[in-house]
Amino acid sequence: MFDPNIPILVVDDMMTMRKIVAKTCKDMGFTQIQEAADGALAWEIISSAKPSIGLVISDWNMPNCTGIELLKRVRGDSRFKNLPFMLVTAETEKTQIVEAMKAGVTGYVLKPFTKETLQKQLEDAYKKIAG
Amino acid sequence: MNGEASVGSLLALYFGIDSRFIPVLQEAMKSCPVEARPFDLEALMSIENPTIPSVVFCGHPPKNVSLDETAQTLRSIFPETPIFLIMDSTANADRNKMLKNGFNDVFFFPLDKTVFKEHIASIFQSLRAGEKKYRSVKLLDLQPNEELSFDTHVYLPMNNRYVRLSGAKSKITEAQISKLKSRNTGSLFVAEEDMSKFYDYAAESLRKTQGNAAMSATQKEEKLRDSVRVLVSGFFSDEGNSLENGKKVAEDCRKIVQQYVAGGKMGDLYAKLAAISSEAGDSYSHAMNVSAYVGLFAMALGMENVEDMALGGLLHDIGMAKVPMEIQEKNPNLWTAEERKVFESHPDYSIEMIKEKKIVVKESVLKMIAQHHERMDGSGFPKGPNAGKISMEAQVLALANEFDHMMTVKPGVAKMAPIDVLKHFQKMAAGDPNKAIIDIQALKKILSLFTEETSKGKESA
Repeated sequence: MFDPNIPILVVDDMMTMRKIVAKTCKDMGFTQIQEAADGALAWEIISSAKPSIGLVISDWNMPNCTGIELLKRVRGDSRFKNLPFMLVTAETEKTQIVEAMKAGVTGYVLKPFTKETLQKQLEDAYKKIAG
Repeated sequence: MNGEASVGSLLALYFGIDSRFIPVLQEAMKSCPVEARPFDLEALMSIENPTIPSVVFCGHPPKNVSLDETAQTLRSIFPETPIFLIMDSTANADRNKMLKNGFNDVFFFPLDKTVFKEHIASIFQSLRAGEKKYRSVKLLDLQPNEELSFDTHVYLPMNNRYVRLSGAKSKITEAQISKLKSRNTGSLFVAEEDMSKFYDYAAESLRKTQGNAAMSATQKEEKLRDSVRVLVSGFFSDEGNSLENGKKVAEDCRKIVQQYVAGGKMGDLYAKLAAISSEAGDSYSHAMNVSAYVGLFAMALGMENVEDMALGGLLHDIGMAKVPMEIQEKNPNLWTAEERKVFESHPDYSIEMIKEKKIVVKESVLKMIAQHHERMDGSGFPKGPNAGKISMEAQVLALANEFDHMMTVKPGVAKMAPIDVLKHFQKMAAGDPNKAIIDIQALKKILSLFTEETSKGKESA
C-alpha cells in the first residue's frame, strides 16, 4: 500500500509524543523517520531534505510555528502541493478542523490516540491519496 | 504476572507516586501486587511489550514534563487501562483538561481521599470475583408494599456488615420502613450489580407519582456530590482567578444550595434531617450535608439569608485543601504545636481561597466561615480567646458542622438519631453555657420543632 522507504517527518514539541508516533511508524514498516521539535525546524527539513519528505505527521499546538502554520507554509510552496500532511491535535473544535481542511490537510488524528487509531488514520490517508 | 492474564492476576502500576500517597493507595488496593516506577516517560516507553497493569496511578510530573504530555503518553501506552492522576491539592490543575487528555479521573489529596478509596475499591471488587459491592440508595425512593425486583440490605456499622432486608420479588412493608426510620436509617443498600434494576424501579415509581421530569433522591444525591466535587476541583484550576470565574463558581454554588432550601417551608424537620444526610463520609458529602443542615437550622430559627448561609456551609472547609495530608491523617493528640497551628488555620485558608478565586459572597458569610470553630468561652480556634462576639450565623454553622460529624456513619460506632445528637449538644450547653456550640435558646427552638410523634417513635424502637 505504501513505500516503506519514503522519508517521514514527525513534528511535535513533546519528546514522548514524537517517540510514540515514530515508534508506530516503525511498527508499520517505515524505515526513514526524522523528527523535529517545532514547525520552524520542520520547515527547514521539509524545504531542504534530499530525498524529499514523503509524509509529515505534525502536532497542532507548538511554540514558534504551529502545525496549522506549517501546513499553510507547506501548501504555499508549489513543490509540496501534494505532500501528505497529517495533523495530530487535542483540539476537538469543529472550527479548527474546518480550518485544517481548508488549508489542505490530508488527515487528522485526535489526541489522546492509540497505536491502532494512528495506524488506521495513516492507512486511510494513503487510501485517499492512492484513490 | 508473567503473562497469566486471568481475572485473578491484578497488577497496579505506581508511576512516579509520591511516597506520602502510598499508604492510602495500599489501603484501597489491599493485597493487589504493585509495580512501582520512578517518573520517567521515556524509560516506560522503551520497555518492549510491557505487562499491562489493571490500573495505573500517576503522580505529579517533574517540572520539565507537562501534564498534557504525561496523560497523552500514558494513554497511548495503555489504551484500555484506567489511569488516575494523584495530585497534591495545592498544585494547580485543570481537571476537565486532564480528563480530555486521557486520565480517567484526577484525585486531589487529601481532599479526595475517601472518594478515591471508594472508587478504587469498587474497581477492584468488580475485578475480583465473589466480592460484592453495595451502593446506598435513599429510603425515600422505595415505596412500601410494592414488589421490588432486587434485594435490599441494611448496613450494621457495629459489625461493619451488610444484612439482607428484603429479597427480590418481595415487598418492603410499611412497618419495616417505619422501623428503619425509628433507627435513623435514611438509606438502604443495593448490590452494585442490581443498581440498574433499582434505577429502573425508581424511574418508574417517580413517573407514577410526579411525572417524567422528576429525579430519584438517590440520583439527586449522587448528582449533587458530583457537582460539589467538580466545583471544588475548580478551585485548583490555573485559570480560576478572574472575577468572571468567581461569579460563575458562586452561581454554581447557589444552584447546589437551592436544592436544599427550595420550597422554603420547614415541614417535618426530623424527616428532612434524616433524608438529606448522605452517609458517605467524604469531604464533598460533608460540605453538602453541612450546607443542608445550615439551611434547615436557619429556617427553623426564622433567620434571613438562608441561602447565603447554606452557601457558607458549602464552602466552610474548602481551606482543608491547604492542610497537608500528614497532618489530617495524624491523631490530633500527637500533633506538634506547629501542626496544630496549621490545622487550626483552616478557616482562614477557606477565606483566603474564596478571596483568591474572587467568589462573590456576603461579608456575613465570610465571617461565619472564619468563626465556625470559635467558641463562646474562647476555647475555639483560630482566634480562640480573641474571637470576640461569635455571629449567630457562625454558631449555626458550628452546630451543623458538629452535627454532621456525629451523624456520619463510622465502622464500629452505632449511628445516632438526629434528636439524640441535638439533645447531646443541649446537655453540654446546660452544663456550661459558655462551652455551648450555639446559644441554648436557639438550640431549644430547633429541638421544639421535633414532633411529638418522632420522640414517641424513638422510645418504642
